[in-house]
Formats: sequence, structure tokens, C-alpha cells
Amino acid sequence: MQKLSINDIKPGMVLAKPVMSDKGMPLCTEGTELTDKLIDRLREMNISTLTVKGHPVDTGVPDKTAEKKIQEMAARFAHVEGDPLMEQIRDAIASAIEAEAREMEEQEAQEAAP
Amino acid sequence: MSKAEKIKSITKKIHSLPTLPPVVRKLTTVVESPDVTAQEVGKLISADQVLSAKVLRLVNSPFYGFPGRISSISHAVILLGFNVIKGVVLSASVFDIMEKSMVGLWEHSLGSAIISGAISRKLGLSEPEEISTAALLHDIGKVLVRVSLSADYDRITRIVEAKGCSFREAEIEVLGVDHADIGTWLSEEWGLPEKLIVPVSYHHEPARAPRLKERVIVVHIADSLVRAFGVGYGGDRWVGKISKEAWEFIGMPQIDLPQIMRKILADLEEVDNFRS
Repeated sequence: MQKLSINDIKPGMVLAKPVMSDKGMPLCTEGTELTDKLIDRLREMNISTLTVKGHPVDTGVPDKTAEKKIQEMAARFAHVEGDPLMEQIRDAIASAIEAEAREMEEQEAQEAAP
Repeated sequence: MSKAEKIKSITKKIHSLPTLPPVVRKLTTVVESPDVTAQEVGKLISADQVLSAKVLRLVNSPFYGFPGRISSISHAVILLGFNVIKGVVLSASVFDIMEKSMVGLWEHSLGSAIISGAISRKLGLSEPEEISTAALLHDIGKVLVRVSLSADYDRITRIVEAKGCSFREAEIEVLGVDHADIGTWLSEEWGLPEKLIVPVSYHHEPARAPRLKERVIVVHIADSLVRAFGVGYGGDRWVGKISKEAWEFIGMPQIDLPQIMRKILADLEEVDNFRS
């Protein structure tokens, strides 16, 4: 999935996440195919970003890899190094980041399949 | 000088408290009245359209457990109670003042509220909504330092950069007290209920909390985890040490840690929806 500014949204793209109004009420469900009319309506309702399926726009900025995310996360633990509880927490977060990355990969593979 | 005297001398320096919209002041008085109804409170908040949109957005986020289902303020008051509404209205207004310059702290607070909600529900604690609201307010003292003691705030941030220490250590060096002390004073000034004040006061030292220990500990843990996940900015980039006693006191060793971290990771994506 990819998070895009509404200005980069084209008809035919499919929502990977529901869209919420500025009051937190659901406007469109996941799986909705976007049309010109719908994009205009969402723009009128001040929606600025949407998350769509696949990776339709090449932003030129590669997504952070799980490995990079874990590295950055572990660096923030510098002040509590050697504390057994904090190390346990750090490792649990690392495994959560890895699990999320695996799930995303599987999802994208499924989307790519006909 | 004792801590109480220090706080007193600091608060004397504060000429301008963050100005809250009149509706917040009215709300504070109205909810004290024993026979106030949810409709009356709802009507009062709804009169301010910008504020009520913000409140609805917060109460519809996943940390309150009714995502996308609360359509009116009076409905929110009935489901969540006066304490939660009061806390949400206050944090929405306070961070509104700071919107541009303290967006990092706002996201740190939202993230803490999300994590507190996830942990409280997992542990089956009572009133998880109030615990999330306490987390939303836990660093309110930092806002006051920034708004009302801006010269001191600049010194604090310079020390954090130069020494690589925590914001709190630098606060104590400059002010002799920390944002938890200042936040306590402010919350009392604003007439917040004790259930919200105690976690603000003791989120760095849960062992010292005289009451409401479970709530204090959840906020203490959330404050550290939100930093670990890299959401928002609490004044420095360091993950703080979680007290092992506190961790065990609320039964964290009994829960599946990788699983709750996975849930928190997914829930935290919600913070993005407040950035627009």
C-alpha cells in the first residue's frame, strides 16, 4: 500500500484503508475504487491524504526497510543499554516491525496476483 | 528552597497562562454542578464548531474503543463521561495554541494515549478511556514551559542538544523542578479531576504515586514506548527506563509482549490522521 496526497490520486486506484472525515466518521471503506467524482468530493471535505493499494506512484524516495527501522529504533535505547527489561522490550518491538514487514509483503504479493 | 517554594516562584513568573477558549472555562464550572446533563454539556461544546470537530475526531480515534461511531458531542459525553470529555477538550484546546510549533509533542501525547488504551484494555483495567486521557495530558507542563517560560525553554533545549541528556534532566538543571511538577500545578489551576492529575504528577516516578498506581504506571510505560516506536517528539529522542517494579506491579510479564507491540505498531498509524 502507499500513502498519497490527494493531488496524486487518479481514478481507478483502490483504497487500502478507510477514509475518515475531520470528525473521525467513516466516509469510504477499504476496497473502494476511486472515481473522478469521489476524488472531488473528498477534496471538498478537506481530505488531504489517502492510502491506496499497491504502489502506483514512484515518489523517488524508497520506503524504509524493516532492517533500517529496527536500527533506528534500537539507537533510541542508548540511555538504557544493558537493562534486561528494556532489552526485552526492544527485541519485542523489533519482532513486531519484522512481522509487519512480512505481512505487507504477503499483501502486496496477493494484490499482484491476478 | 523546597520544591513547593520553587514551583511557587516559577508560577509567579508566569504572567500569561495559555488562554483557553471561554467554552473551556464554562465547561469546567458546568461539570462541577451535580445535576448537569450530558445534553447540556454537549450543547455547550457544540457551540464552538472548531472545538467540537476536534473533540469528535479524538473520541472517534481507536484509543477510545468506539472508532468512527460517535456522531455527536452529547453521545460522546454519555459514552465516555465528564472526566474524559473535560480532559479531551482541554488537550484539544491547549495543543491548538501550539499546533505549529509543538506538533512533535502533540504526536507524542496522541501516541501515548493510543498505547495507554491498548495496554489498559489488554490488562483489563477499569476506565481505559480515562487512562488514555491522562496520557494525552501527561506532558501538559512542557507546553506551559514553552508558552510562559520561553527563555527557560530555550535554555533547556540548548542543554538537551549540547549534553545529549533528557529534557527532564535539563529542566531540573534550569528550573529546579520538572514538567510533571509544573503540569500538576496547571492541572490543579484548571480544576482537573484527581484521576487525571495523579498520572501527570508521577509519570516519571510511579513508585511515589500515593493513589491510582495502575493508571500512573500505564502512562509511565506508554511515555517510554511511544519514544521507542519513534512517534512524535517528547523534547529529546531517548527511550526512558521503565521501572521493573512498576512493570511487574500491573502484570505486564503475563502478557504476550511481541503481540501487544504488533497491535501498538498498527494502532499508532492513527497518529498520521491527525496531521493535516
